[in-house]
Amino acid sequence: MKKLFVIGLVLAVAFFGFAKDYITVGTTDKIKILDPADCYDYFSSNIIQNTMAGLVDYEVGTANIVPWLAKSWEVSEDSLTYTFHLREDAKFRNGNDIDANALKFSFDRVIRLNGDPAFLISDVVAETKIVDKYTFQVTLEYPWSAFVSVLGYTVAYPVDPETTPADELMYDPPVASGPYYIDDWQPDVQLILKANPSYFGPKPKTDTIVIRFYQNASTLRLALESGEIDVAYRTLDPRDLMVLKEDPRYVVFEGNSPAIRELVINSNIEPFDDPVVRKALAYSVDRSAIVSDVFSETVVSLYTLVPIGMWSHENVMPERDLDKAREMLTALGYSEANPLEIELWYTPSHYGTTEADVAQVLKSSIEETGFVEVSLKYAEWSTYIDYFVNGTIGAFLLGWYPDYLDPDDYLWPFLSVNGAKSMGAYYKNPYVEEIMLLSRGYEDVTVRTELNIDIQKVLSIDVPYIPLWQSKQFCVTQPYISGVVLEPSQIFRYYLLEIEQ
Amino acid sequence: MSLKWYIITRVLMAIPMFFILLLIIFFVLRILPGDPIMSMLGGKAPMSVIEQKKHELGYDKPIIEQFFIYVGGLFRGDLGKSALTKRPIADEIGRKLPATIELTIFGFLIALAIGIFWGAEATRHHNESIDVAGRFYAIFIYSVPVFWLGMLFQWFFGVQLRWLPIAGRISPLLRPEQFSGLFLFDALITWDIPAFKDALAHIILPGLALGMIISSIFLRMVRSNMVLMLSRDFVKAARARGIRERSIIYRHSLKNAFVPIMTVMGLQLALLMAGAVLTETTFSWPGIGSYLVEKIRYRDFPAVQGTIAIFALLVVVINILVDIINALVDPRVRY
Amino acid sequence: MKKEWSPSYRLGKALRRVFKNKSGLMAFIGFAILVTYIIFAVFSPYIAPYDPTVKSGPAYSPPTKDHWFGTTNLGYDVLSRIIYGARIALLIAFLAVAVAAAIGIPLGLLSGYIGGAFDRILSMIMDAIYSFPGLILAIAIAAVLGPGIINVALSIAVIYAPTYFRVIRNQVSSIKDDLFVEAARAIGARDRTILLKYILPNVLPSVIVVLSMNLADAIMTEAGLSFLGLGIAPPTPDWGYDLSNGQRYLLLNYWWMIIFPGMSIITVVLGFSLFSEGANEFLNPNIGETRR
Repeated sequence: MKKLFVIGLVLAVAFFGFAKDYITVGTTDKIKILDPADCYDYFSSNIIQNTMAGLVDYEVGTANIVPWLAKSWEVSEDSLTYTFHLREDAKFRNGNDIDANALKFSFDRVIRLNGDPAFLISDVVAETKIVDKYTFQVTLEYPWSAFVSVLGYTVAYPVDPETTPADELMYDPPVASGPYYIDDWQPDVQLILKANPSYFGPKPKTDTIVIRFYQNASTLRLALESGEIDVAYRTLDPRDLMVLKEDPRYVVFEGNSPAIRELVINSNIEPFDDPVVRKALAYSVDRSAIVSDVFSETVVSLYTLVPIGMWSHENVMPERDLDKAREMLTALGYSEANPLEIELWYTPSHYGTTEADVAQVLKSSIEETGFVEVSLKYAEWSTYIDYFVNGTIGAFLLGWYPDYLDPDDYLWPFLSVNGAKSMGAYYKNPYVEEIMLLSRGYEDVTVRTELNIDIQKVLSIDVPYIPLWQSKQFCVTQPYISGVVLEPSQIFRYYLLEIEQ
Repeated sequence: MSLKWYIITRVLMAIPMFFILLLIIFFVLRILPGDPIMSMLGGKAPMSVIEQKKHELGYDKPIIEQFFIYVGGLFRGDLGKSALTKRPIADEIGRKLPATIELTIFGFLIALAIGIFWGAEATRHHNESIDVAGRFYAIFIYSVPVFWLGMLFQWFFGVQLRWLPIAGRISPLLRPEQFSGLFLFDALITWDIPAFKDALAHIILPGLALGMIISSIFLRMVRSNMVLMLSRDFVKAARARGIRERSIIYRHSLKNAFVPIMTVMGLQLALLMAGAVLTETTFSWPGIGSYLVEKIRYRDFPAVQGTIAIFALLVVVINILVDIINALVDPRVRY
Repeated sequence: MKKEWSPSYRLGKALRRVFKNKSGLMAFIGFAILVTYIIFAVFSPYIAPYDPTVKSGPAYSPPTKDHWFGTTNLGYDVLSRIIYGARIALLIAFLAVAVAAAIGIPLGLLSGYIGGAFDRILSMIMDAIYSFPGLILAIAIAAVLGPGIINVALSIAVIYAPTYFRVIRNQVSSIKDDLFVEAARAIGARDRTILLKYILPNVLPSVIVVLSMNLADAIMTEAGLSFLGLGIAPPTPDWGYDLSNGQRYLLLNYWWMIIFPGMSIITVVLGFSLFSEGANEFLNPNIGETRR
């Protein structure tokens, strides 16, 4: 009897194992809130991107904007008014239409509730207007060619006016309008996505996606190895990735990521107020040591602020040259006997467990000149922000994750006076700001590319930042999974995943 | 003094202590530079937005006013909202608290088992190898950091042997229906055997690490108290009556040594909770200890404050309970 | 030459007397461990084979001839980090205990001597801190003060100050009406003189036992803080930090990154416990097991 039971069990497992019609994805990320008006962290956006729809989307695999809820749009002569023509078959899962009314309601709600990402819209939008049921109009405060890219972010996704509270944030998942809906959600445990039958777009390749939440990179890797999950998305440790890459039992996908990391230098603080000191540092940092020793080649060196793979990317920062760095430091009167003493700051948990290692490698690479003594300092993230926004620390590691995919989002926040202030660089250059404003008014990509390259060149002269590396994104799967697309926009599309027979 | 009055005065005495703790923590935390709004938006949103949000959450009010607002909320069972997730802190802690309670109870039971049996056996075989080994174990284990012991277990039982999971409380799909939030208990009363096994597999390593660390103190306590008991008259009388040594140890002297042991064990609670914070971090155990560490990272004051208030409350309540139990067992205590 | 006259024989005989007594042996072993670590701490540049903050070999190397305890993920020599780590551990422990005593003892003296409302309020505050899980309080304070040797020492000091306060206060309040104090008062000694000349010398010895025990606890607390990332900034060698760093590589079987730093913490703490316990029992056999 017992034997029979065991055989039955094995058969059952085998049967269900083969007939498996869902894909399990594991992650170490967390969901904070699924209300587009307040969602401003990676993984919450990720879920919204798979369960809701926006006016525009990025074309699969590229950074090009394509129509989604909006069939088409026009921009007025003065570049201030955007008119969107909406598709008429789009509905929320509860049957309500996704029309101009829903869009106006959602935009106004975002501005009124003033949630975390609201400034992306509220800073630039002057007025929203319902022209007719399927025509929606937005008027801007000033011309801004990157505005359409912002609409690709979840903050601009419409919510259902009927079921969404107008004056407060919503902690339950919103009514779905995208490829999936949320069938079950146990915070920090698991989330089940099921195909949304009322979605106007193509059907998902796999009907059910189970997302499981893990505590850390080690448990995520163990889950992959035990077969508990089919896909390990974010985030595995670099060293684990290196080992998994060599393991034939798994497939490791690798893609560019728009996230960049840089050393910020506050131009107001001695000794960094001297551009020659900043330049000398730029010559002495060893990007390849960071890339290989800390990240086991899971990131790439970066020599400008605009990431690799994006238009107008141009390497402007110098290659490492210790002699040149020494030359500059000697000219300033520093020597081995009288070294330049600097503090280098980092924050230990916000950027993951590797950050302390980065700081240590950076320290020894700068000290290799023999003319500089670096002392490392750290503070937890919010304290850290307090320090750099108030301009009390001179050289510190920071990262940037774009809100919209446009070079503008890698230049304006860094080099405009206000941007540089909130970045802690306190950099002021009216000339650069003028070119950037000029570039913002143009729609034409070739003109903007030229202007953007000029702006980047100034970076290499003034050195308010030393760009260090650009992340890559990784996804490790069991061999029978297909359809993994690691987007430049970092939208992870669950609806393309498939089990290969 | 009647038992009722004893309990009432004991509780009344505990209240100022609780508030002193709250006061200390509140002011200590407010000196912190940085806050959760900066943590979420710093470097991206304009400063005006940040200032406005601070205003909404009341961070710009005078600190004394903030304290009274806080204490006022506390009386209504309202710990405020997390500045990070914007959810009520009481709910968040409520979700995490059972995990910590389950872990501490489990650890406590392991410590108790080791302490009582080894302690009793050591007394029975005074100065024999089991006794000497016990004393050595007690001194040695007291010197071991709980997170190191935990890591060693993870490495050996989890990574080398692959016997037991090294993190978390339960496999995601096996979560039992919830009544108390203590998975082992819930799984047992709903007779959900797979969930019970899975929860047990998850709790063994952290529970053992935590329990072993505390067991050293229990072992010493049990041993020294029982050695004391063995010299008492009633033991001599029992021996004279020819009662077996085993029974003398476990029935007579252990029972009598229990009150002093209880008291000390109650006092170990603080150590147990401190150990729980480290154990939870090591094993990614989703309790209030790892919650506290996470919230400290984000400078989420309301949440940190709330968590520490809960810890303080636990300490105070358990101290009262220990005193009351003592008073029940030994009426002399009341006077 | 006759054996009995050689100094080594006489030393041996004296030692044998110590060793015959088990607590004497314990104290001796503890003392030996402590001396070793103090030597490590003081002479680390001469003892350590490498600079602990510089890449001195291939990363992730298991123990080899060149690196007895292996290397870390950044190629630092684990043995050297352990030797240098003794500096931080002992420095913070001594600082913390000194500060705790410097706060606790005077307050305890005053509180016990003055009595009244002052005593009651101070005692209540101290009791509140004392009953609260020390590490949790230290976490909060360390987060406020930020990283750094002094700051970590201070946050540990806060949680141990009440221990000194309680010991001193209770003794003072019990002897302040003793005859010799009354006598001093009768001959017109001022309060200050009474406290410092008559009471303090009488209550101070009881602190010694607490002191040594607290040193062990302080090292544990410091390790816990840096394990949680609230300690000293790397690359400064610190055992607790190295442990949390090593935990990342558990799955890859890099056992040497956690075994050795852990053993260091254990041996030092063991050293302090053995020493204090042994010495305590050896010197006053009646007190016995008083620890916590």
